[in-house]
Amino acid sequence: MPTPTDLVTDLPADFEVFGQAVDTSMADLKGGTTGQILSKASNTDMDFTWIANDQGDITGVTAGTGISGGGTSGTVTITNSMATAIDAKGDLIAGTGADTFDRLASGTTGQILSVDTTTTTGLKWITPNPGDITAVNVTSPITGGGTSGDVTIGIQDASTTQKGSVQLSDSTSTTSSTLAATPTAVKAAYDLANTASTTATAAIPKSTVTTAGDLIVATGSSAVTRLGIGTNGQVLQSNGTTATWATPSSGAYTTLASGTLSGTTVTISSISGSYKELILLITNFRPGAANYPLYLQFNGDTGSNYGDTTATDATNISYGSARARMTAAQSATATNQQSITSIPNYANSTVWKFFTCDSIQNNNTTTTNYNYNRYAGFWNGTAAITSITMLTTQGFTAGNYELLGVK
Amino acid sequence: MTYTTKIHDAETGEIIEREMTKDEIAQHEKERIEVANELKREADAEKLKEVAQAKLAALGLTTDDLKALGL
Repeated sequence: MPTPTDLVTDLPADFEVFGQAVDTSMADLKGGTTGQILSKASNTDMDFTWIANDQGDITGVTAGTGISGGGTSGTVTITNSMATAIDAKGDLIAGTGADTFDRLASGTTGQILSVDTTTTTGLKWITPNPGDITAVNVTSPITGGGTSGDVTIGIQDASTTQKGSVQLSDSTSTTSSTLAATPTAVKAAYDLANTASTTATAAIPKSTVTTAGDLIVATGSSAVTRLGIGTNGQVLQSNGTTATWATPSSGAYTTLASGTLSGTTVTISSISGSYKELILLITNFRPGAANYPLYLQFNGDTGSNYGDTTATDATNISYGSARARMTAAQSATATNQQSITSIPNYANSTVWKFFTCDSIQNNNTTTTNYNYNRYAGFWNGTAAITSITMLTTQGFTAGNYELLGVK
Repeated sequence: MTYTTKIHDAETGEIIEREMTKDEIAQHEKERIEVANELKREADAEKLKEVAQAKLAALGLTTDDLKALGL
């Protein structure tokens, strides 16, 4: 091919040379197929090649978690590692930790997946226990039950006629028949019972006495014994150490009879003769009419066999009365009166019976309106006195009597 | 009027209150009269005593004077 300064001498030949050079330089532009694009084949000028129009800017494919394969040129292949881990029908992929997994082969027919932290995957196939219950039967106090479907059971309320569930209560005073005591209530009751037991233990047992009239006598500190009643007329005596029943040698008083003065006359009968002396006490005697005295009769003797006086001179004794006088005339309204009559040697059966009586009475309204008398008298009777009759001729509206026997 | 008597048995403690028998009532009525007479005599004697004391007083004497004379 000539240069610009060359002399053209053979133009056709030059064109031929030029044409051949162009053809050679542009040879890579020939060929290709529809849709292809021209791509540089090297860094040399005019070095091209036709390629498919599928070029991008991806320079590499790197496999991430669960993916394998990839590359930086040409066609690359990536593979899902989880998928390839599956080997058989029913296989499961289960995590084994952060970004790790493992295959869990399928269980057998009927098995169910269960959590088990001891396995690699934390899971395992287990055979479920389907149970063989066909009926839920109940007995009291359980209620409900059934043989199919969902069944409900409960507990009936307890009462005094049936067992069952109860409401607890701390009360120690309730009278409920449906509440049950809590340990709190039981302890409260126990504490009281314990205290009562302690008290009872320290108390004198009722069984110490067995017979009417028994007494309980101490034998020492916190020690007692039974003292049976003494015989008739005995008195309780001390020997300086303990108490005993003993027959009084002398001086002891025994109440033989006591009561109220009422009616027309009052008679004390069946007087024992086992005493040395009789003492008759009269208090607050009040006749049925004003200014009548109180009289005595012995053994029902209403004959003129009594004598009495208030004087010191025996010659003044008035004998021949059918009754012996005990008191001065008494007001029908005065209430303050007393007389003490002594009848010594009353049981003697050979001598007359003497008596003395001190009597004082007052109307309760003035300090000067009173009477004091000392009566002395006798009964012309030698029999032992076995009854004493007290009388006024107006009857009694009030008064008290007590007959004492003196040993 | 009903008359009753009360009998207290000192040996058994039994107390019986009953109406008086006819004889007992008769005895009681007798005693009523006797006692009334006794009390009247005593009252009369007391009056005589008071009169006598008044006479002594009029004479300028007392019972102590009489005792001093051995009366």
